[in-house]
Amino acid sequence: MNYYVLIPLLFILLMHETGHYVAAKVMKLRIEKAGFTYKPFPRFYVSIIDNGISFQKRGWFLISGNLMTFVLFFIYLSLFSRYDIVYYVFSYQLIVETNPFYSDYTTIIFSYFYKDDFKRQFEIQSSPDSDQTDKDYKENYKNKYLFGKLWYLHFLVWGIFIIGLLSPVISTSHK
Amino acid sequence: MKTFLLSTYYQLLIYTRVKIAVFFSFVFPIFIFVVFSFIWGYHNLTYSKFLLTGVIIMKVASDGMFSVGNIIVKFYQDGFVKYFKGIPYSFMKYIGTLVTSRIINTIVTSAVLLGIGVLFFHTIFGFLELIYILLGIVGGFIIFSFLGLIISIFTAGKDDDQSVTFFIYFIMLFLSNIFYPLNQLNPTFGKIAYILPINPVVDLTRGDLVSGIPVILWGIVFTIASYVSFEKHEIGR
Repeated sequence: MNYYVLIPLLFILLMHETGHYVAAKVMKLRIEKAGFTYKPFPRFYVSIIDNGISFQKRGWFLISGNLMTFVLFFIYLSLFSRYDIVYYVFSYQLIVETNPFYSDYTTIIFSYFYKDDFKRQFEIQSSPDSDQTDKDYKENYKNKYLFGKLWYLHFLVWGIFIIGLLSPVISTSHK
Repeated sequence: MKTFLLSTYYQLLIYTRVKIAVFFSFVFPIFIFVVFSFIWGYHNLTYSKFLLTGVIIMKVASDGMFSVGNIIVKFYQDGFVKYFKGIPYSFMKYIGTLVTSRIINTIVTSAVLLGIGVLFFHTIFGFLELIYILLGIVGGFIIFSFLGLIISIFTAGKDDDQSVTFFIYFIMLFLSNIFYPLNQLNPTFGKIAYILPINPVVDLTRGDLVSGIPVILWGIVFTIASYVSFEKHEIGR
């Protein structure tokens, strides 16, 4: 196994979180924590205190990580423009970051299209008398989105994106 | 007969209303085939044909293990079976309609996959090749339904009872020739993988009639094993 593939991957992961961090600082959002977690899968994270912030600020914060990855990817392509292991590491990371199951984009989408549910989640979090946990509530409204029409649109776009990144028909035009 | 057909129709209707089932059973196999074929099959038409047969068996395995075997045990666990004692409709007939509806679903998905293969990747199957695919579907369905049943019987009532089924399913998937010829990539793994029931089913689907013998043997083994497990294990609530 080529262990040196972990080096660019680690770099891209850290830069992704740096994107979130910089966006939070620029928009003067309160950073709650930054670190590493195993839930729902091993990953780095930067979390902000999201209590009543506007959709635009939340959207920019969430998208900044993926934007950073895209910027690095385009810099790499313009400097090197070849299909080596680093290209595939970038492709893997971009595919994971844009997936329709659990990503920053899924949070943006359901915080916009299910605004009321998203806001209600915070009311439940801050209310000790609520008979519903915020985790249950999150599961309920995620189920509204998952495998629905909007979700399938995201899934279709994601599939086309994967093909675009990895298909030799598209890739040979970059060589 | 009319009741059987009507019941099968309602089973299909119930299936279409469960979004997650429609996704994993219909959409996901098509997605895998289209994406992998565009990436690796565009300049290699034999790969698209190779992959298509593999994806069909991937779907058969998941349907058998998660939509048949597992469901039967859940019926016993939930006490659903007791309702049949009071109605003029046997539980075995109900299971028959469940299995028939899953087979119809598999045939429809396979037909869609074949159509996409012809339209976009020029994968054309001859009549004999289609017969082999059908044999693979039937053999695979029997094997994986009983395998799912055996696993579910032993894990019934435990926390995360489905995680064992998932684990075995994914191990079989990645140690098989479904997506790539494993025996060519890694001969050692290829030899180990041949003890798994999925590879003879995949090979039969791809036209190797000799693989029909291990498929039949696995079918007999799992049928007997599931009968014995059912008799010996009490599935309680």
